[in-house]
Amino acid sequence: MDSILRVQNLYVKKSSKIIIDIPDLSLSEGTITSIIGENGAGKTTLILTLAGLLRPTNGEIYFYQKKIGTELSLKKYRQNIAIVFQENMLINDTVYENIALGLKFRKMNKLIIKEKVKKMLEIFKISHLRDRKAHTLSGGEAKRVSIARALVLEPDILFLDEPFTSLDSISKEEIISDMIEILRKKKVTTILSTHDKFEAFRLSDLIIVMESGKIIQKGNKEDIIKHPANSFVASFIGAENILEGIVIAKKDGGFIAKVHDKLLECVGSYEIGDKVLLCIRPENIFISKHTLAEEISTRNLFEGKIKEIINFGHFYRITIDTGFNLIAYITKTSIDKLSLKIGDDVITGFKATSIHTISKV
Amino acid sequence: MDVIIESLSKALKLLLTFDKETYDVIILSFKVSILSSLISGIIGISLAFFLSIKDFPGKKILLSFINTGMAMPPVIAGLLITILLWRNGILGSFELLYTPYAMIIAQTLLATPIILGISVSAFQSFPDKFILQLLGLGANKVHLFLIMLKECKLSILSAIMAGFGTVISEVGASLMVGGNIKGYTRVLTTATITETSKGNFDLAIAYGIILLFITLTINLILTKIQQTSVKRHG
Repeated sequence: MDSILRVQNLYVKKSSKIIIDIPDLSLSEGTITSIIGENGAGKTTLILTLAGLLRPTNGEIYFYQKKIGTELSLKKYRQNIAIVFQENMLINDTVYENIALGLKFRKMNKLIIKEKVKKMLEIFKISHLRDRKAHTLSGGEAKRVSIARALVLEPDILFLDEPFTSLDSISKEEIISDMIEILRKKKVTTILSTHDKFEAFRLSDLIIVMESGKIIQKGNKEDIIKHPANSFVASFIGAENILEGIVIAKKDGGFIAKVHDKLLECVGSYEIGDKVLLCIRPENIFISKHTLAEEISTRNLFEGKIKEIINFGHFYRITIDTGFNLIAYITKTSIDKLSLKIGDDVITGFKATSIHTISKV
Repeated sequence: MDVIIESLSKALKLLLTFDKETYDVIILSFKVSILSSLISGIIGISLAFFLSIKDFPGKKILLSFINTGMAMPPVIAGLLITILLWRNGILGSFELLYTPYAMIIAQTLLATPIILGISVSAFQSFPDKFILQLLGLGANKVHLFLIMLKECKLSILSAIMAGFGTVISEVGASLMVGGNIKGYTRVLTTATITETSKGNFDLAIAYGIILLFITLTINLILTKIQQTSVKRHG
């Protein structure tokens, strides 16, 4: 796929603090990219910079190989993009006027505007709100209008800066479903910043992880899930068990790490003395009421006591104190079969191959 | 008390019979103050837009000066314009002193900081992201200006009315640069002073009634605007 947007040596500095430092980044046409990271990681600044709304301190941005600012004016570039923020930012006018706004900026023919807005109202199921004033809309309705206002422009690139953050879960779900359909159908190159892993996983082809203005990991869902680059990514993708340990020995091509006086067998090449973060997904933790150590391949088995059981509807989240806390997800059937309750003594464990190890800097 | 009642009835008679001299003064007052408010509006609102979207060194100091200018005593404005328009002044060759034009210039100097100050605070109430959102939808500076103007039209209207209220009721500047020439530069405020000093209380009261009526109308409209705004945002 062709690169629609490429940045080189992008550098944004605000009062001597480095906000963005990206040597190289290329985004393919028609793909959906999510930018994830903690607060202050630089997600919004990167979105604003890529959208041509914030002048970088240094660096070049290329749109279809044309350098923005020299080969392509910023004004023309902005005519090819659209942006949606967390706040809806609607003007104090009707829904129709709000959706038509960008088209009017582009001096389009009134009949064409009418036609395009009508179509967008239908797609987003808000035709009945056409003449309603923006300030009378609910949060979900206003969000639909702000997204429709961006998509009606048929932008080459759509920037979404945490657009679903303030929505209730029902509205969010409905809007995301509709958006996925439109974005995939129209093959709109989309760049989304988000805190929500489900949003990132559902929408994206590519995930970019940012920390302190730098891209620390870039890859598809599978890469990120299997090989999280740091504890933030691990926790973001749902590895609820992140154990801090130190390598004390090498064994059978793997290593043994000490975590709170317990020894864990892990796979990978680490040197004695290395500090590591061991990430285990909660669905890879098993619980038993009997000792099975001799009969199973699981290398890491611990005795523990159930501290907490939370019902999540489809599954239960159980916290087991083994000297360190382990979190396991298990089904209701398993809970019933084992008659698990808070305070029960259990055997818990996980395979060495279930551990994803990250070097602790 | 009798003097007041008698003067009041004479004043009403002057107004209701459309006395030419009285109405000449009223019309000139309105012409001068409306024109100066419009010019101040154009300068003030445009500058306010520029100041609200641009960041530059010294912006805060400039805004402090504007705020100070909002309370500029009319006699200071009169003095400045008199010096400028004086025979040997920088603009002396235009021979504008003691003409309605000089009054318009002085009143513009008075009203501009007021309109500018209120408009800046109205425009600055826009979140930065709102401006980014509009730019991100392809807006140019003109689009941005028109939308911001529309979004805070009530505050901008208040600004213009506050400017108009100030200039129509000021006396110092008009007296200094206009000279209070009967039938030429005499306006409501200067005429009120003149007629009061001559003991013509009926005329003075007639002018006073008009001034009070204007002030009351402006305040009523401003209150209405304020209430509408509270309802919309409340």
